[in-house]
Amino acid sequence: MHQSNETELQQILLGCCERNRNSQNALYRLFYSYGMSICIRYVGAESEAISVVNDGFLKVFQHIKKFDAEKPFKPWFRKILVNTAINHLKKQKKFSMEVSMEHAVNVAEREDILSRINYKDLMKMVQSLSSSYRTVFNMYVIDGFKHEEIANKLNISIGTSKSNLTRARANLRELVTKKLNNPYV
Amino acid sequence: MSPKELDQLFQQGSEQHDFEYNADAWGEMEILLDEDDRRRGFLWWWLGDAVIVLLFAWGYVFGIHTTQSLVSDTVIEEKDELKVAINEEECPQTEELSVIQSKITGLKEGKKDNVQEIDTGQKQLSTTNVKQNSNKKIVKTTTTPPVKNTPINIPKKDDKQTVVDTKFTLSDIDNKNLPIIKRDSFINGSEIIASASTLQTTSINEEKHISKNRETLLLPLLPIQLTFKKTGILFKKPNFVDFLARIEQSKVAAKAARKAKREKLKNKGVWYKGYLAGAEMATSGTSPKFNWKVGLHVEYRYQQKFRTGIGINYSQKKYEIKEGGYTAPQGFWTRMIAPQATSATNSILEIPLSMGYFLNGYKKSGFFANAGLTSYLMLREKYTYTYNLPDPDLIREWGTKDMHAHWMGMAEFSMGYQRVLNKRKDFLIAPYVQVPLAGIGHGQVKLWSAGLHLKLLFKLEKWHFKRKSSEN
Repeated sequence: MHQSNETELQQILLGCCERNRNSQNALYRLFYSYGMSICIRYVGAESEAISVVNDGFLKVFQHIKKFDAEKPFKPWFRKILVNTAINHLKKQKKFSMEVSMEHAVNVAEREDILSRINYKDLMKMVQSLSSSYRTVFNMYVIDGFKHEEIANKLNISIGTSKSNLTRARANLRELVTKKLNNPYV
Repeated sequence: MSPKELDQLFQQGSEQHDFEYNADAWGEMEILLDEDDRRRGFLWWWLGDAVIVLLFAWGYVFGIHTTQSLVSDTVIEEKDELKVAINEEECPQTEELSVIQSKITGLKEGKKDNVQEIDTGQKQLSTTNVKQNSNKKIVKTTTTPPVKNTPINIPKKDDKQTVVDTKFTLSDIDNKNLPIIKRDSFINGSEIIASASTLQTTSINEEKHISKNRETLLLPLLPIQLTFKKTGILFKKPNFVDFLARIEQSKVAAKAARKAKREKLKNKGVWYKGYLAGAEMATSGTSPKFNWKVGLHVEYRYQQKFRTGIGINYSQKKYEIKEGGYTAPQGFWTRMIAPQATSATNSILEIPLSMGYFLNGYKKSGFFANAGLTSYLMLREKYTYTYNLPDPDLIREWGTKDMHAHWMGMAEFSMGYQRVLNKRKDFLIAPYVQVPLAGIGHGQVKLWSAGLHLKLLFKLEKWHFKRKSSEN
């Protein structure tokens, strides 16, 4: 089964190399959900995440011939999407701003609060952070970048990267505690 | 909860996802894919057009030099042809005439070494010394090896031809009793034949009105034996009438060629290069702001009154954009909240392409008009956004480098005055206006500009190109 999926994926990727629209659509359907889960962590709104996902897919289709078929596709795709999301944030220059905790709470209050903490709640909590905290948290905790790499990519200092991460964790801890104490809120 | 536990919680959470496939999102994706396909096709088109334009430009420039050389060569060739024509006709004749003339002169003056004996039995052109014997018989001595003697085949008198008695003595010359051969006579091969109608004897004095070497040839028909095979070359002995007619035709052709060349030089185009400085006000519908530009310019002037030019200008444009005037890409604004106002500072490379008309001709001072299209290459863009909300997540500033190119995105019109400083230098001043045909920059802003151009142009002479070609 897994092998047939791999074979199917290879066929789709081959079609994408030939700029076949059906193959491109098939690849989009296969990895749309995964791409959204990556981008939604970096940007504040779903519509914005869709835009970032589409930009990422465009880069994938433009550079599909550079993909080494011997290696798995998912990590290559993930790398492109993360870089696209970071570039998107760099253009907006949101990550350099540090926001106080009160404001983070205010932003979170605007989001829908689900009845239990599930992955969606967790993602919502991440999204509720300010862009600077959210970006550093995603890059460090979820995507595994080091502070030096984060500082280089975002053109910030290592100190700012560490400081943002600390503040992000503090905010999330508070939100998670709040949710656990009052799951119906 | 420790930081590590918190990290693990969110790491696990990020592994799960159940976003449903969004058909609208795919619709937006297809738009991006279609644009990308169009951009790829346009790139090949643009490259093909650029290659064709370069080929035409190379052919045009190369053609100018070739045509110039062809014209000059043609004139030279025609002159050469004229000379050759004349020489061909004159070669045997001139030699004969000069020899004959000098000998006549020698005879008259009693110079001994110019006299030669002409024997009808011999075909030989003698230029060597001869001596005169006491019986006034001309004796010929020659240092050249004698050629094979072949008798001149002088035909008998018939209806068309009259044989000329080729034997003359000094007394005949003294008496000036020489036949005159006029233009319709001809000499053919080794035979000296004259038509009966033109053969007449008259005195030399009566022929003074006849031009020396054109209208009539005074040919003292001393018994000259001509050897055309001396050098192994057969000379063609044409008719004098044809010869003169051909001379006239050659002269007319040369005159026409010179006239054509003058006309061509009159309408020939010239190249100019120069510098530009400009000041302007730019606006997108709000209060305008002052900007400046500098650049280089090249133009080609032709047909006395027209010009085509291209330039490259560096300009720094600052302008304000009101609410709604800035159209950002989809998803750019945080929570779709657009700013109330935007300030822009752009570094732009302008490439104007224009055509113009000089009312008094480009060689004189006077008014002119230009129209054309300008391309904008956005080197650097910087925008500052102003909101009424204090939300810190809203985008306040944004910038990029080398991102947008707007080919033929502006229409430019100007009317100005040219002052010819000297033969090689012109100064131009022209108010202009730029009308947006497309939005520019990240925000697709419709930017209007109006200002003043100052240009100093220098005429490029031929030696500019020759020097460059010799350097190459």
